Amino acid sequence: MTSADVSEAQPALLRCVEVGAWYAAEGAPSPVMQEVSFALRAGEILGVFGPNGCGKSTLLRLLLGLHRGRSGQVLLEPDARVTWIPQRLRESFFTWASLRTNIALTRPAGDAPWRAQLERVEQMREELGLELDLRLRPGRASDGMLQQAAMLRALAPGPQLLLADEPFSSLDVGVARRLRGALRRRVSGGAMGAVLVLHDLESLVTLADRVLVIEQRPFTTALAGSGVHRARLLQNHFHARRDEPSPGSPGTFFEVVERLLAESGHA
Amino acid sequence: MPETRRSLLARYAGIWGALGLVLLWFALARSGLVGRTLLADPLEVLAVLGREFDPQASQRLLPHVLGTLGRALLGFAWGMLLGVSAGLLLGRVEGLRRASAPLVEFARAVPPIMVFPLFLVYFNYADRAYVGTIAFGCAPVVAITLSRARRRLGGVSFELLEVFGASRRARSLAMLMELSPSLLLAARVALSLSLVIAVVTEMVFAPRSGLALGAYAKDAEMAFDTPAFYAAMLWIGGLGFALNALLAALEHSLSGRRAR
Repeated sequence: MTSADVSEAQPALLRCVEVGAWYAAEGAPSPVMQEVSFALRAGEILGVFGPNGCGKSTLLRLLLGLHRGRSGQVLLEPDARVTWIPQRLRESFFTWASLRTNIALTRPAGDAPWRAQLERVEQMREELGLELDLRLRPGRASDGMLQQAAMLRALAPGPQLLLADEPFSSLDVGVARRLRGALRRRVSGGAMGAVLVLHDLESLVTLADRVLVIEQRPFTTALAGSGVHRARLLQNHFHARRDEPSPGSPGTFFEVVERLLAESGHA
Repeated sequence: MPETRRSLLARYAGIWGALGLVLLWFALARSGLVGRTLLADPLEVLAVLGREFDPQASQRLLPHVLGTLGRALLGFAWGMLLGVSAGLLLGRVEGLRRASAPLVEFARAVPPIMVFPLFLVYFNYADRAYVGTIAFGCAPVVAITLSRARRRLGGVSFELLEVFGASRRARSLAMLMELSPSLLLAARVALSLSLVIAVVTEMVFAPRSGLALGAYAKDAEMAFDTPAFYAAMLWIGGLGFALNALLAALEHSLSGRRAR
């Protein structure tokens, strides 16, 4: 990552400065990441890509302030409204409430009244063309339905920053495409940015403006020290210009991702 | 055995059991194998219970029932109030929970009846002594159950509310609903306990008003009025059964809502 990515001269929605994270373990703490720096601007989607257990979800939790073992700085634009689609999606819903009530419960303090919020959710559901029965209890909903509800829940408050962990993994092709399109349009509007942990190539290629490729844990975006793996930040040329490699890049974005998948045994 | 007969037996097992017990009671009482001072005749007990419907009758049981029920419910309410407050606080503040754990366990181990004489003196033999003893017996049970449940509370759903900046009201509602199974369980235990403590304390020392099932039962026992003693026992058992069934129905309804 270049220093320009964290330059304070550029307006950024989110700025990570030399962030480190670790898990408490017997003896020495187990590091997940060290000196990770990047910035995210409004109107931009950063994809986070890598094998299982490399620290992608930890990175999201760290950005949200939910991970305890951390160092460095996470700077967020003041008053920015943040929403989240967690990895353990089913656990994020209260079983005693319908999907609709679950969504309305997350209504930020001081936001529109409960009834108006419910109407907004219903309106957004129609806007996104989702055939989702919001009266269902989470226990009766499939993983795909929960992902649709989670996307509604995350978009309804009109966030400036969305952090999502594999938000399309259980959706069927049509719904996933519709939601990706809706998300892309909202971000392209310029009022919102997103950090998405993604495993599927289609989402990476069609959504992310840049991709943080993590190959192994612990990782860093600084020059790699001993025992720390360099995470790469790639510009999504494929997203910008579908099949033309940009000068100086190691191939099209698609080729880079394919190669990384092959190297990490994901192909 | 045909399926319908078997299912009828299974469905009404509780009623068949109770009916069998009454028949056995009849048989034993009428056989003369057990003395009348030990085992009352069911019809005589029924006559005592029937006094409630006779406006001319003296020594009706209902005023005693209401006296005991009032004390038990008031003590239960105080016990719940103190227990829930303490449980939520202890479940939230880990240091406080650790510091007070020995004290809470100690209080739980002390039989409430032991503090009753102290409360009698402190409250000048007023009804508050009974209410205080019941609350003392219920509060630790509720506090321990609630503090455990509160400690387990959290996880992704609550983190999400925090990230989204959900209102305090939404968070409180979520917490209450998540705690409700433990709260109802604690309430069921505390309610049974409150009735037991109410009757025992009344048997130890009769309240000033004299309206108490425990005192009534003790007087009946001393006067060898076995039917009256049995009638009091049936009232106590019936009250406990009804209160427990009420809370169980509430719990069932809530768990049904949670599961749907």
